[in-house]
Amino acid sequence: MELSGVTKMFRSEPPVRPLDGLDLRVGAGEVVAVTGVSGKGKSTLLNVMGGLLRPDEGSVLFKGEDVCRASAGRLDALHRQGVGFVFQSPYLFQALTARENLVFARKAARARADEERVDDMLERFGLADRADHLPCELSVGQKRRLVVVRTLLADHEVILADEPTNDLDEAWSDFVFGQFKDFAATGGRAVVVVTHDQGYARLADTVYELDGGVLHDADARA
Amino acid sequence: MLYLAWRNVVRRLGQSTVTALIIAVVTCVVAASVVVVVSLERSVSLSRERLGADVMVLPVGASSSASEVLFTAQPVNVYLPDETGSAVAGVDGVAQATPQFFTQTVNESCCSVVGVTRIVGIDAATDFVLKPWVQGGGAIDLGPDGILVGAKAPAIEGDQVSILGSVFHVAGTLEETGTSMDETIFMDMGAARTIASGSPYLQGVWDGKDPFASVSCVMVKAEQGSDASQLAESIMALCPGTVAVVASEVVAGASAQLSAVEVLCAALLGALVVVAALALAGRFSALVSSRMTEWGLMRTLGVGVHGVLASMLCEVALVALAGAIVGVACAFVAATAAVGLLHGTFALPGAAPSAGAYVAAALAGIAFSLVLSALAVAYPVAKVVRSDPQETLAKGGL
Repeated sequence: MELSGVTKMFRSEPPVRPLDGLDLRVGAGEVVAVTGVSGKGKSTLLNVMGGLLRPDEGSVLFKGEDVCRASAGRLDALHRQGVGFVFQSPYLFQALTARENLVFARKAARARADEERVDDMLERFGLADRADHLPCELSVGQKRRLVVVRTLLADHEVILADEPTNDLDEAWSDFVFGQFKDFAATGGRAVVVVTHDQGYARLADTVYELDGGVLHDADARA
Repeated sequence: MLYLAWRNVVRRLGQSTVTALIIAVVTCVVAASVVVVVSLERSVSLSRERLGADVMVLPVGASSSASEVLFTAQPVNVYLPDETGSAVAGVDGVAQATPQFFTQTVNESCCSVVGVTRIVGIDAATDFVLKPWVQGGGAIDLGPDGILVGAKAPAIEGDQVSILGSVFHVAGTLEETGTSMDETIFMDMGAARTIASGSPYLQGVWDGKDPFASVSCVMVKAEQGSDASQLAESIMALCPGTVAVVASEVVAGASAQLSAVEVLCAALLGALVVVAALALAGRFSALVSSRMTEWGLMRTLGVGVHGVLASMLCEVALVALAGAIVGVACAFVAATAAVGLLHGTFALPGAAPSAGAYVAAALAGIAFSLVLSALAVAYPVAKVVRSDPQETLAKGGL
């Protein structure tokens, strides 16, 4: 995935320009961490990378195709197979149980339900005893783990994760980050993680800091 | 998608129920209105067809009974001198005239009939009133002991019946008319007069009158091209003591009353539809707002706009359909009561709507509710469909 000269402006008063000619390249097997202070555009960057927001300028190439100019149908296909999200808020279908949320996501991606794998992932993420519970019956940490499981189960090529360790204790944070590392190492996939936790950012292959609408090499800055 | 929609409906049962109730009320009113209007129109149509009499001749002071006689074929105990029949027949412009003689109702206490049955005497030789209704067609041949029975008159075993001590045989059966003719036994005028003369119930009526020299009314068919109103004037001028009622005027009067009822129904219906549409728009707008996050999430999982749209419409359709089915069930109860009330109030033939009319009303009610729901949900859904997934997610989080 390659971003070139990406600019995104929100026409508020005064106008906000969180991304201003930003460049980024994410290679196969790589885990990239993006840090920065709140409100500087980290989430906007992920939304642009995933085709949820169109930039005002620049391009976002995914396997050679410009996501910014893709049709709605191509974007749907991208979200089914190419790019998956872990949002900052743990969005779930409130009327479906934990297991049903996972199965629904598999079906939305037009993949086989594979309930055996679903149950295995629930077990690994400590959610087996919560499989038949509704989201309103889960703790925030459990919801966070559930949305991570949902994204991992979809077998995307790139995961864009926005503060995925929020609301998780240290052990589960370590576990989730480890899962992302394993995911990236398997079959040439990649993960881009937005985090304010410098400790976890250090575990990534590459760390950037978003400031002034562009990415800076965090190590060089340090 | 259907499963998700179903789970959303069930999980938010309170909200779904309120929405479904609004739809149920609308469906009930629409379906019931269709049944009532169909029934009223059928009644008026039946009244126009009924008996084919253009003018009815009754005793002076009995004109208020005209609608009972005309619309319900309900016999009333009013009497005219016998010679009125021939006098009316002689008036210029009269094509046919036939007298009828109303007696009384009979039941098991006096006769071998089941339930309450009315007895009416006719003159088979001049009758043009019943002839079109005789099953199988043909001439009416009653003789002194023959009877014609209405379509819903009680079953008579062995084609014989005992009425106030006399035995009669069934000479024919009438087609269903939707009026009280259906529960009436018709016999020869002479036999009817004999029954009336001996009836304790009618003794007070015969004070100074001879039942064998009386008729209750004379039904008149006007010559083609003649003016029924002018004919009625001529009859009243030439036959003192009578009032000639023009059937079409009575029908027109009732039609006007019914038209007023229909206009009132239409106005109430229109107002209700507007209120219901606004209420539904509010309900569905709230539903869309509460579901924005989920629909945005669906888009990020790769579900296309059509899939999201299908999910929304499934949810709306499930609620609308449940409400519509409840509404249709309530409509049948309400319509049956309303039709009975209106027919009683306006003295109309009891032309109950056919099963087909009920089915049509049910389908109309359900279709109307689904269309109304679709219109109510169209704007909020269009807004969601046009939004970017991220925008939908963000708005859902607000």
